[in-house]
Amino acid sequence: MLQLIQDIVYNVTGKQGITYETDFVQDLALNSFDVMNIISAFEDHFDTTIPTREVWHLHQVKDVIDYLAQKGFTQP
Amino acid sequence: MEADCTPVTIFRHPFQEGGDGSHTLLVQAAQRYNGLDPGALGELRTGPWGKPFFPQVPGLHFSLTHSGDWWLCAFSDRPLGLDLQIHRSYADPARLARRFFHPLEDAWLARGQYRDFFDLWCAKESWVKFTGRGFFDDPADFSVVDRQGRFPVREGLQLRLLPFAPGYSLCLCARQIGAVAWQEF
Repeated sequence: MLQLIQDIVYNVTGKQGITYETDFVQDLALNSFDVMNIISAFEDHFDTTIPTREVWHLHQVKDVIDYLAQKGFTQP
Repeated sequence: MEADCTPVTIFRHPFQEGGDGSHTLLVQAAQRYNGLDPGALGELRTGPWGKPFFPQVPGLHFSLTHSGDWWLCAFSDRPLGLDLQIHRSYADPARLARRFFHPLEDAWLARGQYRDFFDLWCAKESWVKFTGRGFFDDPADFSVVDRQGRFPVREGLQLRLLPFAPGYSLCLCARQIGAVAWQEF
């Protein structure tokens, strides 16, 4: 799943060097518009809709991995 | 009345990844804005939805934004929200608008072939920064376009699109916006 997140974040923002501990705002300096684009890319990948109010508290990459696992999203 | 207006000072600074962090820039700008000694600002904390504030200086209101090559921070003695966005999107703006915006907003944008997409995004973002709730509320649940097709609007507030560099949109939100001054640093 880390590889998928790395790919999506790179495709959307051009940012690299992402680890489990990377913080989207503090480390990657992403803004809300970047986050919206990333959500959209995840939705495309998993062919689903992710409730936006559920994702704004996901600060680090590991939070996203936990969230996706909790929702039953697995990498095809 | 002028006395009810919110005078605003916006600081702007070139933004570089790996350069001065947003927190450092905020402290520098805040000290310039209110003339406080370093340390007088005290600790920076965040509210329940992530909005930063200085508990030691309760009358100091500010709103941070960065996009592209710029970092901005608006200061005032009253609550406000500011958002800057470079005109660059990975996903098709029409698709993002249909997915994330209120139906009134999407319909309004569609009438203009999504030309004003980034202005509308900034208006929405400036409002959620004003409220301090960020996007913990679904962005599709509120509109900055009213049923008469007026934009940007939110009842009881002013949303003002400000001129900035080519290729950027910028919007300020406050109860009643007064004079806006700019400072480079």
